[in-house]
This record gives sequence, C-alpha cells and structure tokens, in this order.
Amino acid sequence: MRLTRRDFVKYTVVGATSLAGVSFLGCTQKEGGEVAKPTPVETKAEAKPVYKDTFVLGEGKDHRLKGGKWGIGFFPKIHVLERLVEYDIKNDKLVPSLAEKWDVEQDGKVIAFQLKKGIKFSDGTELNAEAVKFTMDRLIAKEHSLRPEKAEVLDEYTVAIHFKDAEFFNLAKMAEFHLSIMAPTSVNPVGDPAAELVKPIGTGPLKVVDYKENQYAIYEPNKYWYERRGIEPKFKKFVVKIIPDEDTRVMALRSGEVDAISDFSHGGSDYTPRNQLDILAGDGYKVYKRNIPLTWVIAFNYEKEPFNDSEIRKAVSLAVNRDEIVKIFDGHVRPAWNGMFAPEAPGMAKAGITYEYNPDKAKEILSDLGKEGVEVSFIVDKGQGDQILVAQLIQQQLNSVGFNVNLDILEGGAYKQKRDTGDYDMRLYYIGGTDRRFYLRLYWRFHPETKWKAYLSPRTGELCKAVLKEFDKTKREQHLIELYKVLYEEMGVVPLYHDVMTVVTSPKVEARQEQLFEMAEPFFYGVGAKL
Amino acid sequence: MLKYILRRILQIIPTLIGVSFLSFSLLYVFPGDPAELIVMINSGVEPSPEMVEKFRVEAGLDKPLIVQYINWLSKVIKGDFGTSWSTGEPVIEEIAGRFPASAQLFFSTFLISVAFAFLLGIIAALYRDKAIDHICRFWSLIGISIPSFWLGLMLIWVFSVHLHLLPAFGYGTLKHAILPVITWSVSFMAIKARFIRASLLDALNQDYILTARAKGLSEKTIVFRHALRNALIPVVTYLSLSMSHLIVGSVMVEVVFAWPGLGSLLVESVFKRDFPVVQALVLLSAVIFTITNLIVDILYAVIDPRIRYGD
Amino acid sequence: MVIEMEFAARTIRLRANEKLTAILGNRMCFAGLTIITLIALMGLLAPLIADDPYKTDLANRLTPPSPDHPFGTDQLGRDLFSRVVYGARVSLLVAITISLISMTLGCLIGAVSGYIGGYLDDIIGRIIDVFLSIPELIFNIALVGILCVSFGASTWNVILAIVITNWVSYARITRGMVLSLKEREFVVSTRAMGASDFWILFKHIIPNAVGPIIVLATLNVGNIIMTIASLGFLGLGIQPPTPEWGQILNSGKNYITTAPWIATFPGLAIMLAVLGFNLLGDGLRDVFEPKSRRMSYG
Repeated sequence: MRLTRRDFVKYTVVGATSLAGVSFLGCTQKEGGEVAKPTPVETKAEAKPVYKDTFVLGEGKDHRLKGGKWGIGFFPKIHVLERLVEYDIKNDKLVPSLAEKWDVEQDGKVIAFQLKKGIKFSDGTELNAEAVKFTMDRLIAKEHSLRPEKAEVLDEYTVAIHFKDAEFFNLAKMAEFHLSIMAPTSVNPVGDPAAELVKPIGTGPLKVVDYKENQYAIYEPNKYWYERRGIEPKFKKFVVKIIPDEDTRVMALRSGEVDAISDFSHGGSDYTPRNQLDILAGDGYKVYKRNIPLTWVIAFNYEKEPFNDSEIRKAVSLAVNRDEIVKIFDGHVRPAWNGMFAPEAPGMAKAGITYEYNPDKAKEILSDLGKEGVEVSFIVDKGQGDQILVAQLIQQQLNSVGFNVNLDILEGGAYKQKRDTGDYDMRLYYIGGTDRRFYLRLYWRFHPETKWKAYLSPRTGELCKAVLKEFDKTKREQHLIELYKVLYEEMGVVPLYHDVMTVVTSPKVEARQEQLFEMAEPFFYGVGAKL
Repeated sequence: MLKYILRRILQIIPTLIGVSFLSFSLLYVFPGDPAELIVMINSGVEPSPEMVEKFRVEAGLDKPLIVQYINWLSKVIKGDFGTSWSTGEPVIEEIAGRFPASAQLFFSTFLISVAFAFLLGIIAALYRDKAIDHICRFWSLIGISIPSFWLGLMLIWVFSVHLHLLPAFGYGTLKHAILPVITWSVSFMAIKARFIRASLLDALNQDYILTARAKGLSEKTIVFRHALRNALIPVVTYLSLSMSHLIVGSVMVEVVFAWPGLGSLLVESVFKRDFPVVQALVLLSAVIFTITNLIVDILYAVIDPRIRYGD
Repeated sequence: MVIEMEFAARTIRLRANEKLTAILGNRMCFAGLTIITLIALMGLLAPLIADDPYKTDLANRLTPPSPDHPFGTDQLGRDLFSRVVYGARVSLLVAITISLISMTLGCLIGAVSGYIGGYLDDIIGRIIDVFLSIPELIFNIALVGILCVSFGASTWNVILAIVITNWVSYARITRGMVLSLKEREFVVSTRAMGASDFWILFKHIIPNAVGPIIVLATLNVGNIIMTIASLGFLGLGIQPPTPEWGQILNSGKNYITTAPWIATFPGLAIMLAVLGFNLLGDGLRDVFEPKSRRMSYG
C-alpha cells in the first residue's frame, strides 16, 4: 500500500518528538522542602502504629523566621516560643505558663514575674530572668507597638516589667503572641537586643531547622518540651509549606502534597474557606474546629453620610438575616444574634442583647428618613472567597429593603487603600480574635488611640479604656457589659457571625481535638501522619 | 549576508526602545501621582505629603521623564529590574527562579504539539476534502475555540477527581506535568495544524508539483520530497513565531494548574500590586518576542535566499 | 459628481449582493451564523427564558441540574442557567463594544497614516510594531491591573485595556491595504484626473479593504470574548455579582468535586460563542479572500 511507509515515518517522527517532549518533563527541579518518601519509624513495640518521618502542613502566611517589624510569624510564636502567661477566656483570667506567679504593683505600672525553674530553651540554655529581659529589650529596641517601658532583673528567676500606663491591659498583653519569650542565643552577637536574628530559639515544642522566605519553614521536635510533658513526638521533621492562595491550599491537601492545612492562627484571614469544609469532610478528610471569640461584622464609614446616622445603621442590622449567611458555610459558624462577641467571651452571657431580623422595620426606617434607594459602596477583599459570597448575599438582603448597594471587590492593596482613605461606606471586618487577643483586639478596635478601629464614639472609647484599666474581674465585666450595650444602642458595627479556627487533615493523620486545640490556635505537637 | 543581518538588527532597535519606553511609562500613563501610589502600596497607609516628597526625591521621580527613563534603561540593560515590592528580593532573581518551570512546560508542549500538528496537518492535506480532512479541520477549529482554562478544569475533573489517575495541580514530578501539557497542547496544535495544512496545500498547488505529477512521480515522493520541503519554509517561520507566543502565553494554564512559572508570577504580581515585577515581565516578554522573530527572520533568510536580495 | 456617487452606490450594492449569496452558501459561514444568532437570541430574550440571575436561595445551594434548574444552582443558590443566559448579554455587549471602538480607532489611524505617508506613517508604523511586540494577554493583564489601581475595579477598565491592545490589528491591516492600494494604477490615474483624496479613499480604497476588515472583525470578536473570559477567570475582569462566564467558571473551580456543573456550563458557552465567531470568520475569509493571499491573523 502506498501509505504504509509514509505512516511509519510519520509515527516514528511523532513518537520520537513526543518522547523528547516527555523527557523534558522528566528533568524537573524539585522545589521547596523535601517531602521524604515515607520510611518506617523504628518500632519499639509491634502494636505501635508507624508514622511518617516528616509531617507536612500547608499554611497561608509566611513564618518570617528572619524577624521583621512585627517579629517572627504567628506559627513559630505558638510552636517555637512560649509566654509568661496564658489567657483563660471562660474564667476571664490569666493563668501561669512560663511564669508561676506574679505581683501587680502600682496598679499595674509594674508587674514582677516569678519564673518556673528548670525550663530549658531548645538549645539547652536555661530560661531565666535574663532571657525575659532580653525579649523585652528587643521589643523596645525594635520599637514594637506592644513594648513595655523597661525590664529589670530582680534575681535569677524574677523579672520586673515596667509599663507606661497603669492598667490591666499590661498583664493581658503578656499572653499575647508578640510577647512570647525568646532566648538570648537567638541573635548574633548573643544577648544583644538590637542584633540580627539568627533563628528564634524558644521553649516551645518545635525548634527551627530551615527556612526559605514565602516558601517553607522546617522544624524539629524540641526534646526538652516533650520531656516536660512526658510524651513522645510522632514525627521527626515538621515541614510547613507556605501556600498563599486558599484554593491552592485545599488542592494541596487533596493531592496529598500536604498532610494537613491549617487556618492562620491570627484569625481573620488566610483560612480554609468555610464553605469547603463539608465538601472536604464528605470526601473523607478530617475537619477539626474550635469556636473562637472572633466575630465578623459589617463596619461602616460612620463619619460620613449615610452611615453617620445610627438609625440607618440599625436598618442594616435589621435587614441582615444572619441565619441565611451561616447557611453559606453549612452551619460551621455561629450566627451572631446575641451580641458582638461569641457567647464564651467575658460578659456576653450576662449582657442579654439580641440583634433582631426585621426587614419590614428596616424598610420603614429607610422610608421614614426618606432614604429609599440610597446608594452605598461596599468594599470586599478579593482574596477571601468566603467574604465575597457573604457580601453578595448581604447585598441582596439590603437591596430588598431599599438600599442600593454597589459591590466593589478589590484586591488586597486596592482594598487597603480605599479602607485607609475612607473611600467606602461599608465593609466586612472582624473584631476579637483568638482567646489571647481578646483584650488586644478590644484595644485595636475600640480604643480612641488605635488606627484600626471598627467604631469610635465618646462613650465607647471611654468604656473601652475603662475595661482595659480594670484589674478587678467583676468591675471589668460590668464595664464590658456596658460597652456591649452601648455598641448595640449606637449600632457601631453590625455583627454577622462568630468564626472558628479549623484544621483539615488527610484521613491518614492521627490527631486529637484536645491536643490540636489545647489553646485557641492550632497546636500541632501531637500529630502524626500514618504510613 | 552579514549586511542583511546587520540591517535587521538595526531595524528592531527602535522597536525595542519603543517597547522599553512603553513598559517604563506604564505607571505614568494613568492619572494619579506615581510617587504617591508607590508609597501607598509599599507602606499600606495613606502617605503624608512629606513622605511622598521624600520618596519622590529619593527615587529620582522629580527629574524630567526622559532622565528617569534613561536611568531606568541603563539599569535594565545590566539586568537590574529593581526590587520586588512584595518580597524585597531583586526582581531578576524572582524571574530567574520561576523561569525553569515555564521553560519546561513550554518545551514539552511545543514538541508534542508540533509533532501532532504535523500529523494532523499532513493527513488533512493529503486526504483533502475527504472525511478525515473535515474531522481534522473541525478538531482544529474546536481546539482554538476551547478556553484552555476550561479544558484544564474538565481534564482535572475527569482524570484527577473521578479517576484519581493524575494530580490536579502542582509541580515536581512527571505526573504533575501531564495534564498541563495536554491542555496547552490542544489549543496550540489546533492553530498549527490548520496552518500546516494550508501551507502544504499551497505548496501542492504550485506548478512544479504539476510537473512532478506529469513526470509520473509517486504521490509519496511528491509530498515528502518536494511539497513538504517547500512548505516547510513558511511553516518553520510560523512555528518559530508562535514559539515566542508560546513562551509568553502560558498564563492561563499555569494559573489553572498552580504551575509555578512566569505566567502565574505575572498574575500574582498584578494582584499584589508588585509593579516592578509586572513591568519586568511585560518588557521581557516583548523583548523575547522581538528577538525570537529576528532570529527567525535571519534563519529564514539563510534558508531561502530569495529573501536576502529582495528586501 | 452625483452620477458617480450613484454609480458607486450601485456597484457596492451589486457587489454586496454577490458576497451575501457567497456567504450564505458557504457552509462554515452558515454554521457560524447559526450559532451566533442562537447565542444573540439567547441574550436578547433573556428576561423571557430565564429567571433573575441575582436572586439567592440558600436553601437550594449547590443543587445539580434538574427541571427547575436546568444547569443547577451555584453556591448562593442562584440559578446557573439564568446566569449563563444573562452572561451572554454581558459577553456579547462588551465584546462588540470593544470591537467597534478598536475598529474605529484602528482603521482611522491606519488609513490616515497609510495615506499620508512620510514621517507620520513611519512613526505610526513603528508604534504599531511596538504594540504588536507585546503579547496581548500579558499586556491586557498588566493594563487591567494598573487601571484597577488607578480607577478602582470596573467593567470600563476591561474595555479600555482590551481596546489598547486591540486597535493595532485593525490599524496594521488598514495601513497595509492603504499603502498597497495607494500606488496602484487606478488610484494614480484617478488622482491625475484631479479627484480629491477623500474621494479616492472612499471610492477605491475602502471598498477593497472592507473584506479583510470584516473578516478580521469577526475573528476579533471571538478573540475578545475569549480574552474577557480569561480575565474573568483570573479574577481581573468583570466582577461578581454581574454574571460573566469566565468569572462564574472561576467561582466553580473549587466545587469541581461536588458541583462540577458550575464550571462546566459557562465553559461550554464560551466555547460555543468563540466557535461561532471563528466559523463565521473562517467562512468569510474563504469568501473574501479565496486563495492563500491571506494576512496572518495570529
């Protein structure tokens, strides 16, 4: 046949070039952290399950292990470092962590902490007052916004920290991420607060092994921490891959590139999209979650029309059906019908506030004020898929009572710009945060001096200051309740739903809810990926 | 010969200058003070007039446009595209870091699609107007109409989600590359197949073919020895031209498959408002495009002497 | 003068008739026209055949295709069929707007430049080269990004960005045609007879240029639709809640496991629309430029 030889030549050519093309694919460069082939951990007893040597986590924000304006990132602050105290939100009190007790002097202007003895940093050096002083001095040298005035070593295990103002907030601050204790050996030259950070060394369960900015961070178990707890780690290496896009993170989990994905422990951004949780659970992945006192709200530009009128803000609150919003997330979050903060926040239960859903009343308000069809601009951060959905739903709900909402979905930089210049009428925002941030967020959202405020009026500003000053728990609670009530009366912000902190793992991962969420932030000391 | 090459090189220099000026001026084309914009993007807050002034002087933005352009150009020629506004690293390093991934994808796609394009084009030309020709042409038409990002998603659905055969995205092993290459190849080969067919048909219509047929040469000899060779010239040019398109056209596929190449770098940088990177990528893609065309032109002149003398 | 205008008009009408018959007879044109008409009709009759594309219904989110919702519902419970149908309006309107603006701009610049010649033509020719050297999609992405920073996100950014990259194809072709026709004998002789430039442009040059321009315009609309959808997919184009095919596809990306219909149908719509214009364009090319005397449309 005429064709055979021609075909033969054709096919060989095609085949050869395809092979050439395919071979190009073969010489890929391996990027990022090494995902080791699973090798069996040496089993000491036959019954023990066998774990992979390396556990891989996917997170959205870089770990900043080289330091920076705010210091290192949140994950290492939780996993590599520890703090003097921790915050128990249920009882609204600070509990011992690295410090076993403390003395509040001069109404809070000076607090003397007595450290627990025998605690070692991951490099073997001792946790002592010098180390705490070093940490504080470093904050001062870096002009960190949460820094104290000075730190004084009283004896080997006692350190007095001086603050600018006398307030309860000083003690609450010590439970904050940014006040985590770092060893003097973290810098070079050792002990110099202004020196360059080599790598953060702390008392926490992990220690730093390797780091590539915006790509990965590699840790190893800190044997001293595990000794203190009397347990063994289930991994030899802990790799965190930085994957900024939320969808890509989910894909990484699905493809097996990571064993688990976690929300950013800061709260409010870089989290696993809530509307994906059920889908993932349905596909066999394990979803762990914990309620946190973080509430998503509608924040207004209350300094200009139309939202300078609290009645119109109330109309917005009446028009929003929070139950519907929660449905977008398959009920993983809680609707904020009963107040600004989650029910477990101090004072919430007693405040007795209820936000109402009454679209007819909202319509009435608008028509009474002659504001039907009022145009408002609603800006949304494009990087948060969840927020885009919520915004579209809210737009619908508001439009049906007479507002005319222009939705503006902006990418991060443009969003920040409009927000900072006040070029918007309403936007989505969050108040509160993980437990330890409760008071800090109060400060950052409602204090007269903050630049990230959600709402400020003379009454709320004063109440906020009063809350932060008061050491006495009962009196503080009273101030809080009053603050909640005033926020409700003035409708400074419209609470939508209370958020959660989630971790999603592959079916092969062994983890326990109590360990993962010992604190409000995901805490990975006890996870293991089975082979 | 040398004169021709020199002439061509001289011809593209104004184009290159024009392209560089265009990339440079991107920030100035639109209203708003670039200094203010830059300070705002970098610091994240609304800048005070003093901050803006200070930055303006530091960055040399108070000098006349031409001076700024020349300063910028002199740096760019040395390879200094400035530092990224989001990572603080030199832009050129970021680009170099992502280049291998794109190159890989590109070479594989190019080779595979060219192979298949030839196959399709030749078959279609040979069996012209028969059923298989129509099928090939229809396939080509579909290939260029199909959105590559949609095709990628559908392939992910079939092969990754349903059959669990291939990974949905990522970079690192051969398996990761299969879907992106197939997706990209489909549209790429479709266009090429059409052109190859047209080119071959063109060649087959020439008079010398008629002579060859009259001489009684076999179809096989005619096609392969004569027509194909002559058709090869425009085809090679066209392919090389589209090579430059390919080099720079990987954006959609890289985004769908989260392939860490230059295309996805462009999109990420646009979102992060990391202007230096965007500017560098626009400039680089244009330069690569122009230079590839130049090389192709010269090669073309080498192959086909008629060109040299006609210009 | 009047007689000549009449004569011209009649010739144009005759030629148009010829072409029309040729067009309708060509199979590809016919197929293309059918598809395009269907899509256009879909867009026009949207209010009659579809529901409100903005209406949310959270009780029924992410439901698969059913008699109530032929294409299923999305993550806010909106009817996907309605969104695709209204999306046709969006895509077609924006694409045609862009095409008309670039065509006017490009043809004008190209014609004037080619006709006047000299330094102006050199410079404009260079400018066209420069614009053609920058890959279209990359330039579009960069432009839309910058425009969004300066002006805030809006559909006009998309239109402006695409027009900026698009006008050059028209300019190049028009200029090329004008340049080549300018020196043809009949033009030279007409000028020798004393006819004005304008007249020459109108009677001789433009009728000859019309063919390739129409072909280019048709293929161009298909291209633009693809670009709009690509930008929408990247999140740079027309923003939600306005239904735009590429953007809907983007939102469906995450639901590929549980709700694949969200990503499937808009993509089919894009493909059909582009296919229609490509078929029509190809067919028209066969009609207007029978042999391979074709310019590469890239």
